[in-house]
Amino acid sequence: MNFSVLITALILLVQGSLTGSDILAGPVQEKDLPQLRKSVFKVRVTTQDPDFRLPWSYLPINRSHGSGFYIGQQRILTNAHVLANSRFISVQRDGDPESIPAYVEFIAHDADLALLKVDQPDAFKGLRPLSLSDSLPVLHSPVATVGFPMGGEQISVTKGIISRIEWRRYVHSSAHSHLMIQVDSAINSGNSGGPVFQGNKVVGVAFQSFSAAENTGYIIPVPVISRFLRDIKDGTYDGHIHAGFRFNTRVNSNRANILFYGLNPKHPGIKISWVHEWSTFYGKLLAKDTLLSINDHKIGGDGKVALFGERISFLHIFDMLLPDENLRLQLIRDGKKLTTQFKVKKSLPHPDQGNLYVKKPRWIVHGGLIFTPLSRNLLNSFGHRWYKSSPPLYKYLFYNGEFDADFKGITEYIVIAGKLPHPVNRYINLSKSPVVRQVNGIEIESLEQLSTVFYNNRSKHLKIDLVGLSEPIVLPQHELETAHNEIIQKYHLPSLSWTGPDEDGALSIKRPHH
Amino acid sequence: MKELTGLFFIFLFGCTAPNHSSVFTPDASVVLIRVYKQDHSQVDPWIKKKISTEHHLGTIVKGSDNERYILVTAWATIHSTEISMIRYQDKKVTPLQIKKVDYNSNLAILSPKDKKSLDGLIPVTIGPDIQTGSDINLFTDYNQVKIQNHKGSISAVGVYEGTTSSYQIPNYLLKIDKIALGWSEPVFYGNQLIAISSGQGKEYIFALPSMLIRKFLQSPPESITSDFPTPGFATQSLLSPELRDSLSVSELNHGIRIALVESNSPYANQIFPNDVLTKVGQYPIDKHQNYKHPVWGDIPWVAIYNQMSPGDPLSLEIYRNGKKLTVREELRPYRANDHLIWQDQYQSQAPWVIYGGLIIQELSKDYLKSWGKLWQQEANSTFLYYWFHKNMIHRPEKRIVFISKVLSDPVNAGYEPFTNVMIESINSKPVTSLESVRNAIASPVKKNEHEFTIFSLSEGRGEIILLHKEAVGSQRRIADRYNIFKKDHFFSELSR
Repeated sequence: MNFSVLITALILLVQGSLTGSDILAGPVQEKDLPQLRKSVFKVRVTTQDPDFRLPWSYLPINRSHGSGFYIGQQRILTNAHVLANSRFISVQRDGDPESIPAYVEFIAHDADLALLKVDQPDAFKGLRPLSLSDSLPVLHSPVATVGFPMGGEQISVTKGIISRIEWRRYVHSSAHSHLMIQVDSAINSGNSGGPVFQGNKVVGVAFQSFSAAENTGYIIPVPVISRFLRDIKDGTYDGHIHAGFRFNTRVNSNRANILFYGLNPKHPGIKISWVHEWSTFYGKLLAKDTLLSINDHKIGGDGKVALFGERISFLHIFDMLLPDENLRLQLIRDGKKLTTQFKVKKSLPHPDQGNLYVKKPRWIVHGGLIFTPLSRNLLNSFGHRWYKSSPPLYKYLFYNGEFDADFKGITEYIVIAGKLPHPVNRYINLSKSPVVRQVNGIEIESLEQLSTVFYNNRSKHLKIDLVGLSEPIVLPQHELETAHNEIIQKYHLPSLSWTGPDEDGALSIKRPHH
Repeated sequence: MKELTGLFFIFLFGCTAPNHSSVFTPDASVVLIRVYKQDHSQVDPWIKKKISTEHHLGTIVKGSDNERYILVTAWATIHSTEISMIRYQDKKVTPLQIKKVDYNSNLAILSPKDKKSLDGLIPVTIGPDIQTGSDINLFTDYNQVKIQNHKGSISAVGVYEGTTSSYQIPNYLLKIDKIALGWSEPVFYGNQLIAISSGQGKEYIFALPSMLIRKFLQSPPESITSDFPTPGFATQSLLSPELRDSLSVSELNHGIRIALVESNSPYANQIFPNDVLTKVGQYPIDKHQNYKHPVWGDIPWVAIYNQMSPGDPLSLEIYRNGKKLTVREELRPYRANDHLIWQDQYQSQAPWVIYGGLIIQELSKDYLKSWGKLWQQEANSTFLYYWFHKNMIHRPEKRIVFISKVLSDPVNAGYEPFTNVMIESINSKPVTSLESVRNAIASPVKKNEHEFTIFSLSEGRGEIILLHKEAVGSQRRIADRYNIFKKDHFFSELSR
């Protein structure tokens, strides 16, 4: 036998023995690319973000674009962050000169996914919906990212390999983490929402990159996409259920913990440290419980389970569930092994730590003072390094207020974001971080309640006590009506308040009327 | 009676005419002070930082015992390892020791072991409080060679927190056409000392006026408690007519709001937040928190009790729900560390202990400052919340105790991520101080034939469990691994 043929055969044999038949398929088959690329769209968006410090107002209008791909039923899948706060959307398929209006049918800010609908069936003529892969790609397998990144106008195809599969934070929400795949191909501005292929299947949606590192892009893998598509089947997006508990990994490997709780050192599990009252786990899990398995997946001391040939955070198992789906936990409590099974439910109302993508933030202007709930968006308004530059009190309440008995029961913290100067408030000098505690002796727990208290006040004065030692604010009730009329005129306010309901900024633009 | 005496004293000095006829010659009454300093690291508290050198000027004064001492700011002495004086007359270098230091007034006196080394040095005369606008001479020495005289004037008098304490004291704001000042330089009006410099701002030099110096020198040099008192409550201006109306004092054109009363204030349970304070002693208080000082005019009312002593009675006139009340109590000494968080660690470091590789500390202002210049924004947000909003609420013997970091060792495997975590209890015993930590650790929990130490942590962080014997037994190993030479900060049942 020819020696080179023998070597080639050996290489092929070795390749064939690796897991994942897609390795042999390559990132994208050359013959499939012309058809596949037709189903990839450029998504052009005009956005207008609200200004959380002047919440009736908006930041300058912006234009941007991302990518998306056809999945059937006149739907284009893309990222939520491409469409967030959009005012107008148009899509253009590869090779087609025409741009067609589209609207948002579903948007999942917690998973950074969204579905666009195009009402013109002709827009998809000759296109095949792209298929999602039914398995995760393996490490080091090749993929191709297709989309419309910056640096040109035409469709772009970049090759890379799968670098890592893990559980990480999704930046768009900043409060949710899900399964995520890291690739070493460039994912640039404009790639977002575009498909990532292995063979002729989509293995993920390109969506974020890590600016501090080179060759580090991230894609949303198929399990997360599939969950989104399952969720919207009933016509409503319910969203991922917050776990709502805290836990510590690796502590159960400590000999002291093993001896104290009678744990199995070979299967130490993770230790629960806190369960929020609003969590679906409340009453099912207790602090100090050791969680051993979730839906029969054994949890290691590192908090991970064996899945997809890797070790992935156990939270992924729970993350994939929809409301009313079953969850089974095995745990150790007070030295005894327990199994508990229940249907997961949506979380009760609680302070939202994610970025808000609402058409209009909620606010009240009273006496020229701007009252609005504390939110991540408000913290972001303190600049790029808001985690350092935003007021410490805001950060404390945002992250730790729930653990402080002084603030028990408060679902949102109302801050005074600013003052519209008027003679009625001429003596009021706002501290750096005013947070409303009480009004006329009534503890304030939400913006709606604050609105009610303001509306119902019949006392001569309106006294606002703030968190901490700041000077109380007192407004003269009898002067407020005149002052409000003057303030509305002077500052061009649409009204004196907006207390909801919250409407998603992108969803608020309705489908074109035919 | 003491109040009246104090007032008379102020009036007398306020009327004293300045002596412009002779110019003071400093070489005989001012010396150069050289200080070597070495501070502790806050994050690795067994480590001392690099040694630095400062030069101050020291002024010869007479104490209440008629002995000669060298007056400097307290700041000059903090973290000092060695202090010496250099006489301008003969360049002789003499080691000094700290005789007395008061961090509230930021003043200190030094003395040599051998009193003869002060021979030939003449104590200065301490002058009165001086009006703003007055011309002054400040003596400094930039190059540690020769004293130079700089003319300036007193631009204003303000009340500020001292450099070495949060205690508020009056300061002259001097306008002098020079920079790099604020090193205990003496300030003269004629041939009398009227202040020593304590710092430099953007436009002014801060200087501690003679009223503080006189008071500081009045008490015996060997006294260890501060002679500066506090009434134990905080106030806020009352400018808003609506707020005044809501507090039923709209017919008054003066008075300020009581914002906080500390639980150990002499006036606790007699005055309350939202009471309106209209008079302190004999002085009406205006709505800007000022009273009329006989020399300085309108300055913050806290200067009234700066001139008094602990144990002096002070009456307050307050209004509550429109009714006038008078309360009278004896002032207590101001202790900066009588708060939730250590404010000054100049005399001793905030306590810390290492147990099982966990570094357990009481929270201090210095620890917060380890986050850098912008610590008031960038430090741990929970710690900052307590610093800004809870620190003044005095709880007897209550501190914030936390684990700053974990020195990795097999005994604490798995707990390395626990940094800057507050401890609520140990072995079910509430933790209120490092002493309570020691006591709690000394009573481990017995279970399954072992002894455990269980730390319950705040903010949903869970717990840390260590095997007590292994934790104690790990100390030598940890000390060797991390080059911790001082062993007395390791927890040991034998050390108590």
